[in-house]
Amino acid sequence: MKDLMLKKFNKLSQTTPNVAWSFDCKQKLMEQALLVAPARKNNWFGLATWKTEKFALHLVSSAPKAITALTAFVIIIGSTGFAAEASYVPKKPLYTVKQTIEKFELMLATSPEKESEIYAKHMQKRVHEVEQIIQATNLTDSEKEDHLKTIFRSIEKNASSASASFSQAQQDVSQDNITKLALTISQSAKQASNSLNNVINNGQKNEAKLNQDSAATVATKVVGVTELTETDALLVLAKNVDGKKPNAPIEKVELQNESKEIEIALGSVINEIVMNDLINARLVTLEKRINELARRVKFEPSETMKKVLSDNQLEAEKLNNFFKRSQLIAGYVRQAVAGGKFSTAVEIYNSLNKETNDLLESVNKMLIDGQVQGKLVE
Amino acid sequence: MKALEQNSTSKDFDALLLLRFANGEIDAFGEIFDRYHQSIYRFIYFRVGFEETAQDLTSIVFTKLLERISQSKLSFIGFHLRAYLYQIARNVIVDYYRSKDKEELPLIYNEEEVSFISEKRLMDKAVSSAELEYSLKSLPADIREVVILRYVEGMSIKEVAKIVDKTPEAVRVIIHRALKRLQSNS
Repeated sequence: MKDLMLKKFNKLSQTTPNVAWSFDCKQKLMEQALLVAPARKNNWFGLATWKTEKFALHLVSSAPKAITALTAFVIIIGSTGFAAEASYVPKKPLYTVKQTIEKFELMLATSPEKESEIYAKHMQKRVHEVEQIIQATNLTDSEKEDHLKTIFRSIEKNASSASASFSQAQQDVSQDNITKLALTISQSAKQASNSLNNVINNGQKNEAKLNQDSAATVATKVVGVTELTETDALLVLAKNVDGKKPNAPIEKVELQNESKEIEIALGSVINEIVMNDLINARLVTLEKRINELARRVKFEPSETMKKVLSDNQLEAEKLNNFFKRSQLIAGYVRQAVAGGKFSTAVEIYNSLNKETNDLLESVNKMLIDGQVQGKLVE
Repeated sequence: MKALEQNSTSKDFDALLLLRFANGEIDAFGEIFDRYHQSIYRFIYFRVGFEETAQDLTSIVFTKLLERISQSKLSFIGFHLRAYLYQIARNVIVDYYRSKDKEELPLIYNEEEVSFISEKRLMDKAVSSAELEYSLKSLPADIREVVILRYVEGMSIKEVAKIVDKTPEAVRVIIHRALKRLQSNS
């Protein structure tokens, strides 16, 4: 009798509201949500926070207990012989623990300034891991490729998050602190870009291996993000020296409550900007990349390639226009530097860099599709 | 019977949705609505008896949820969204009856509503479940909500106890008595 009744209850559980009402109601709620929702933070921040909270939930019921448990776990595992390798090889248990600790670090950040600093620090750690993986003798080439890709994606997350937190921090942090933060971010991002460029250059030497999923291809995408992060920070530094005479070294950079090391490091970067080296060096690298782009599209397209070209609407004319324009823009950048308009120079450089990266990505995709689907004739 | 025991995975998923919303992802709120609007609607419908009223009150529940999650800085660790929604729904129903200046009597005393519901339900459901629905509505409001949560929504005793703010033992006793009463009515 009771079972029969429970079966009847099951039918009641199929009672549903009118579909049209559900749709309308959802639409209205979404409109309201748009008005009251908190300002959007970058995805990575949310994801990192959630993953950290989820981990804490999974492990124990409260964050302090989770931190204690994690610390104990790290001490136990860290004392074993696996620790050294596991600390830079993704997918190893200790690496996961290391990532989780990093997420806790981010969770404990009390301001966008602190958060940005932590992201920059994590980016440096990833760069160090890239070096260790490249030099590792106990990993096969394909294992190295896999690990590098994972780390590059992590660098991308760190760079974009550092950039997002940095722009937030600029609104409410003192000028001195922002300058110091810009210095930290620009240095970390520069190291990351150098590391990625090494992998890209090696990949280009071995173009036959280039495919959608290769570490060099992933690095090409990620380097755009790290360079933009670096130049975002450089822009802040360049504003400090706008109007100064080019090629005349800055005598002193003083920040309140900062150590001599930081003042020296800052002075060095600012002097690089003023002495023309930094922006021009970036420009030379960018021009190399543009030339590489030109070299690649000079390949005579196969039938498949022609199809890919038209599918991507990437016409030769558009590319030629870009090459001509890029020379003109590079000229503007040099003029701005010569006139002491350093921040303007960085801004123009930034826009050229963005356009080059977008185009390079399209051309890479085109080449890869062409290679996968047909023959690439040189 | 919907054997949907609320487990930690489901709570994690809810926590993710709330965090995504807290980070400015509007779509996450849409997902919360998709996930829970039917069960909240059912809960209200079996309490108030009118489809239109149940729809209005359901939209109020989600509007209130939206207000609360966009204003508060809740920690989502251990946060039980489903139970929270039912608690809002209970308050909304109480407010509804207060504003109507009438007591929430067993719906069987409201002749007009009962005849409307039973006629409407008889058209698209087996007679037996319509009868059960009719019997269910004859139960006092506080007992009815426990039965709905336990058997229509398939919640655990512990979860029902949390929502109706009673001990699990008290909930067990209420359910036992309600089932006896329903059996004798049918």
